[in-house]
Amino acid sequence: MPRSARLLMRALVSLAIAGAALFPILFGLATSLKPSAEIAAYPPTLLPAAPTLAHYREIFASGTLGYVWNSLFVSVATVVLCLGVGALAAYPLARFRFRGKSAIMVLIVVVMSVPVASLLIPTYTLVADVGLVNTHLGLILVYSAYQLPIVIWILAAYYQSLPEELEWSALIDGYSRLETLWKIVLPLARPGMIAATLFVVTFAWNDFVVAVTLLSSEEKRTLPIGIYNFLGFYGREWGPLLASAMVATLPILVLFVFLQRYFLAGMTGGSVKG
Amino acid sequence: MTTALAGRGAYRYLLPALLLEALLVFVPLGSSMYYSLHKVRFFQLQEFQWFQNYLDVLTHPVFVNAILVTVAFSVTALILTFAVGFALALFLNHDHLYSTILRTVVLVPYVIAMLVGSMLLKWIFSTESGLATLAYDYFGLGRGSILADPRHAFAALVANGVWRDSAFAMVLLLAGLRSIPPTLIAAARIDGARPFFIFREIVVPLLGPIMLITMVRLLLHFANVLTFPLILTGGGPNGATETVALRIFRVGFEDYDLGRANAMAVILCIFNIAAVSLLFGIFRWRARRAHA
Amino acid sequence: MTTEVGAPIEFRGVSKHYGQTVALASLDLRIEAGEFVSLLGPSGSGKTTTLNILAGLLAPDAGTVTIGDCDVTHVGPDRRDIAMVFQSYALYPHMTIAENLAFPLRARRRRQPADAIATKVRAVADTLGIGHLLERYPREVSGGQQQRVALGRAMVRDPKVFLLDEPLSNLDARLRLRMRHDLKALHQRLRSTAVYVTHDQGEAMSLSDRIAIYRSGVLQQFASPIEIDRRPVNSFVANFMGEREMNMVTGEIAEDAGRAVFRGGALTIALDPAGPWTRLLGRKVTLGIRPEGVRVGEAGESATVDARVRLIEHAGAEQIFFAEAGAAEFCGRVATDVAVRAGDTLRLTLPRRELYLFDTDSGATLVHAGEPAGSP
Repeated sequence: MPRSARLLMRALVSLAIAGAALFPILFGLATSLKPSAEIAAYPPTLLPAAPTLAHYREIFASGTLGYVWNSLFVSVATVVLCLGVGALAAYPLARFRFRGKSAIMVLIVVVMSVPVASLLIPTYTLVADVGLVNTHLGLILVYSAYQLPIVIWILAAYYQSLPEELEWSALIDGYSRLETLWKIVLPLARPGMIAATLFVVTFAWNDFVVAVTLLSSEEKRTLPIGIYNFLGFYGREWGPLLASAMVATLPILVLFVFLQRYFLAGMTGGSVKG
Repeated sequence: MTTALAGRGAYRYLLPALLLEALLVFVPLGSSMYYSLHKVRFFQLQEFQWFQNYLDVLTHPVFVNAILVTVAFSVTALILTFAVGFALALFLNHDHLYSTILRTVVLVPYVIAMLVGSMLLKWIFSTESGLATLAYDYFGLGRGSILADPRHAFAALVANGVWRDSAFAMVLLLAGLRSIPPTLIAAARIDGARPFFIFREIVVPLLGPIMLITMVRLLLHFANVLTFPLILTGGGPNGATETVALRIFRVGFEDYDLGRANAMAVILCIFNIAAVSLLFGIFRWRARRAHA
Repeated sequence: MTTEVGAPIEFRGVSKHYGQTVALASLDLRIEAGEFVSLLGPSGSGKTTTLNILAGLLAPDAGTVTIGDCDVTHVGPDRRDIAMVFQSYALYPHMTIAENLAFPLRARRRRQPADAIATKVRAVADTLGIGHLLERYPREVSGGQQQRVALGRAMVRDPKVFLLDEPLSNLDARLRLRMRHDLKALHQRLRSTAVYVTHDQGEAMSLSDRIAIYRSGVLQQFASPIEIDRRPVNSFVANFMGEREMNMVTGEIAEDAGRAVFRGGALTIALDPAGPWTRLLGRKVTLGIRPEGVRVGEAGESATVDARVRLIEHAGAEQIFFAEAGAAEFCGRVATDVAVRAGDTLRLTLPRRELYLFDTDSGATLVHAGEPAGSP
């Protein structure tokens, strides 16, 4: 095949791939901007004839802003807890030799690999027993427990990639191990911290299955639970439903597009390095 | 790369993490086993009844159906997702600008919330959007609804998996492809090998472990899938898309039968642990190969 | 292996650019059948680009490449009938050494029967002394053995052309010398055309029939080792050859009392009256002499310099001294039994046959080994 024909083929295939990936999102976005009558019309229009923000106004009038705040709060708190605990726990795994280390590594991979869904019922039972059902604290703790293994994995791998001589010289200069971690290692490990943060934020912001089991009251709802309830409430009124889906998607998309380098590093760091 | 310095204090650093994991992952697993051996009514633990719950769920046609659906879905979605992911990885294994952009684009369905993704697809597959009707008309299938037909609904569920997770497979496989030294491929070309021969004799064998890891991780993900069927199909029509995880969710949070729900959760967990053990086997095999 | 002589290779006007960077500027080079040619130069000089274009791993922007009688410019590497040994060896890590050696035979389109392949692999392995390693994996054998496997994989097809990309650079010094010797012996037996990329002038000198020296993408000189050593075309080539840098002093040729002298700063060197100096009078030149050419305390018609010893290095059977004369510094060698100490003043003799003069601006050689450049 001549070179130009090959290039054309590649371009067409690329376009088809991009279309398959993005069409549902773009069509959802277009629909969320159509007036209800246009949404119901057959045959469907590709682009809104008269774009309107009515559906967005409607969902914000019915409490979406509160959900957004709840999601934000839970996400940030989970990141703080995960990175605080994880940055500490990753250090001995990267640098020390101690009994039980390989057992802990195994444990981390096990928890990292076991999907959330199979833990839902037992977790719910326990969280109910200690009275943390329908609290943000309960949700934050559970999220942290599920995301901590991957945070530790990413950070330990990153610590290991740093030159150990810097830590030795800090120790010789009289810093304690903990001070060395805080003042030397953590500032250097920023890319690793960003990758871990992205993972935790994406999980906490996007999670639906844990939150739907643990949260019940309206004022505690995170955004995905809000959307899930819209699904029951609006039924087949797709305008507000899709508008809320777009609101949930936008922040994550922005984060991803700008920080995807870190995102990819985390994805492979957490699964390929063995 | 470990230092002999101060190895003793390791557990002081690990304590908070271990505590959190123990409390919120391992205690629940234990209590789940305990619950699964009891009769439970509306959160009230009643009498101990050995494996009665297990017997009940395993002989219940609805749960058996859920197992069959889960197996069928996992296998189909795994094969298709892996194939699409591999094709994407091979197609995008370059440093041209368009590859970089396209890699980002295909990852978008993976990074957005599963709930949102499934909802968007539900809209597309629904009769209200009109797209499905257009397609049915175009192929002359008469009036119908994708999500109301058991076979079409199952296909829609698989499509949801492929659409979201192909990029995940792609990322892992791309990392694997990148780890093959380019001089190895150059050497094979000079040795007279054609592209397909290089793929079969060099690329696939060197990618073997990563391909296995990717498959196991996809399998774990698909076998436990809850959000796809809950949102997209609601498990219907007639249980055609009701997976084990969805069944557990229903029995636990809609019927509040925690005894049976826990029994099912334990069964799912045992499957997961078996899959993870396989993953470990691969890791160890890789390590042996790398350091032999 | 084979009695057939390798194929000739020709580059005609071959160039390669990366954006603004010239990797290779219009190369013309003809390598005869069965010749052992080294491509020598610092990194980034174009030697590896030349090799990769010859292998078909890189497409040139312009020009043609022929191997034998075929124009291979647009032919893929798999159809060029060449073999290559990579710097990293590029052994297939998941295959045993036997499988590595068999790979080129299995990969080619005309497949051979399995037992023919096995016989061939065994023969090549025995030739290289790795017959006992066939069932091992590459990572299980030493660096030197891996190197032999890489060579064997190239030999097994009886290629017309052998390409070697710094194949010895990952070996330690001793092993490198031994492999250099083995490589030479191997080539004498195989008689294939061999193109050898290196940045080590010693390797190039000892192995090659001819050497091509590169600088910044431009071929400087293509000639036999002796020719390059004795008659370098410019100061870059002269300086690049030899174990140590050439002693160089910038200045000009002047006349003093009817006799030609070289004057560089405070340094004046009276030149041998028999030399071809007079036509260079008044010209800005750089005088060069290799450390091996500098003599201590020999008289005669030769030019002499008094220099003060600054530093002595001991190097086995000899001592290397660095001595200052005005702003210039001369490096030279004396036997270990000569008593020299830092601070001593030595009378250095610069024999005419060892002197080079270069045009200071262009670097072109004006006088080499005491003879005017351009004369036979």
